[in-house]
Amino acid sequence: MINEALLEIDHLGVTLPVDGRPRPILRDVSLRLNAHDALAIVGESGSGKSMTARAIMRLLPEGATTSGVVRFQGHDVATLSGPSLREYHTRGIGVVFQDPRAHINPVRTIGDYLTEVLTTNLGLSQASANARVLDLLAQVGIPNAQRRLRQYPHQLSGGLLQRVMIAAALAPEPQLLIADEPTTALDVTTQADVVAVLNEQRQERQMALIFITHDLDLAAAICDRTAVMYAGTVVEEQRSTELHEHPLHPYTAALLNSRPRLEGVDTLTPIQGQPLPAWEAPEGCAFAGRCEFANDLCRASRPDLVGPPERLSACLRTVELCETLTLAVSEA
Amino acid sequence: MTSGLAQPNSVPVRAQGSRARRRALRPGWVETICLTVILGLVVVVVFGPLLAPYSPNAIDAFAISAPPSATHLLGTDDVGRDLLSRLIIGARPTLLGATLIIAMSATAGTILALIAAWFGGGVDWVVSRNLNLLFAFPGLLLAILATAVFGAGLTGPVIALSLAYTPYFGRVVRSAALRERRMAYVDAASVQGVSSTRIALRHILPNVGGLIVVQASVNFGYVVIDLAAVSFLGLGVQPPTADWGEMISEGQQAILSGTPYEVIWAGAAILITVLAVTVLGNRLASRWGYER
Repeated sequence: MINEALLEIDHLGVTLPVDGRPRPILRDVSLRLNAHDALAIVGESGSGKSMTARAIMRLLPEGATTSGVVRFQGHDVATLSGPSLREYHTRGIGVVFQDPRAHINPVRTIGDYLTEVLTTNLGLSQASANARVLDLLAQVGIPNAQRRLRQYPHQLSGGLLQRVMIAAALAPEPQLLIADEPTTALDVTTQADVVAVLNEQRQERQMALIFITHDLDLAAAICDRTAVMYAGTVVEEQRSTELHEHPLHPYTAALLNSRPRLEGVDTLTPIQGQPLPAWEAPEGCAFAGRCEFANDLCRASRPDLVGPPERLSACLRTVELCETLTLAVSEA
Repeated sequence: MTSGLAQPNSVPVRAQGSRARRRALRPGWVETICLTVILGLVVVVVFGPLLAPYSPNAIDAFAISAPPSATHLLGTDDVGRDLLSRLIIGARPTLLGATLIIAMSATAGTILALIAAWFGGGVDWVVSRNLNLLFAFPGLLLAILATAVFGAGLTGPVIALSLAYTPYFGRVVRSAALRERRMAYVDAASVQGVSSTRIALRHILPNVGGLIVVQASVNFGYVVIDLAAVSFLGLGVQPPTADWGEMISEGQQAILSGTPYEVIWAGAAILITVLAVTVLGNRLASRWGYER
């Protein structure tokens, strides 16, 4: 069981210099992902979701120091270099970023962008790379693929460009796809299509997926498991359906309750206060300042992410609050 | 470009923007003149011997220091050589030398800039300091020094000026490449598994290519002048080989005797060349959005 993990993040901490001083951005993040699993990472802006993804990709900003390990198929990702790092980046992981327009070189054609890695790293001929890419473009729902290959990024709409980036991520057939808020930069009508394509491709290819989003419902729709992050750490991790019905952490419950709804209420229930960056988190539980259930113990000691498998929560009062939170979510 | 209207299956907006874009790409009259002059110069350099009415060194003993006439359209110099022929043939060392210098300094400067931008930190520091050091050294002095080593002729000045112009490319390209280096697409490419060298050459370089072209055309003017100055000092192309700078040098005594034609024609040729290339460079710079 232990050896089956495709990706294993073990007590990952990341420190970045902010205003010249080292500031913790992530603390004690632990996640594991088996082959073919889909895990959603949910949280507010600045909660550390993207930083976690960047740590997995080996794409941390300059000056970052890390503690803990990220293991991919048992290999410490931090020790990869040269060919093994390129191998990891092609066969290991594929990445779909948030803003396709910023993440695709504007002066090169779509064809160049899609086939580059296939011809240089996987040793395919230009012709077979083209064939594979044309096939992929059709699969992600891009018509006129042949013509698209000669076009430049500015000639494509955001939705199409995001599909192109998905195709590029899938092209080397990676084992893990990381999608970092892939639909945030798109308008609402194209969002659904792009998510559908992503989901379909992942299931067809039996790929593992890490889906980063701030949309709890989207997370549940795509991923079996959801991890909720707050102030640079994971506060809860559960099966997505369970998380929606029986949240274990007050923060998750509050997030669920603050979603806009179609019927009934016309006012939102916001979480009081402001989200904190990890370095401003107090001694105790990072959420204690905004939590309606916090007591003195919560403010004094930081809880670990504990619990039975797939029912992990970083809250000292999980057991006693369990029913209250379930009730709170079902009432709203 | 908004994606608001774009359905996933729709053809992206193309037709609507294309007329405006074509109009923006059409050269204005200034660009047309500059391009015509440059094209003319290329023709002169390539087909020089066919265009020149006489051999550049042929002496017409009956027309010494002659003013422009039907037999010698631009007149002759103080030994009776046809000035038009010398001007046409003299374009070669001047313009080819300048082109060679620009090509070498652009290549060297760009390579250094990409290395500095890619590795950053200590490497960047060392490269930048060395470029500054070169900057502080006057190019002409370097060229004179080089002739001391290589002897008179084009070799010394070309090597020296290539070296002297390297920082002009290096500095500008480095700052542009540093900016590109931080772009999201560079991160995305490296996560795709594209190697560093490839990212530098195939991704960053094309994005700073326009800047290199602009920088090359602007510097070309200065190089032509510097080369002419070296020849004027008698350190570059040696008589009797025709060269614009050398023509100015040779023609200066003739000014006193009332026949300034050699200096005028050679000076005008340098002026027009430099003007055409520099103006075009500035136009390209503002058109491509590189404010200078």
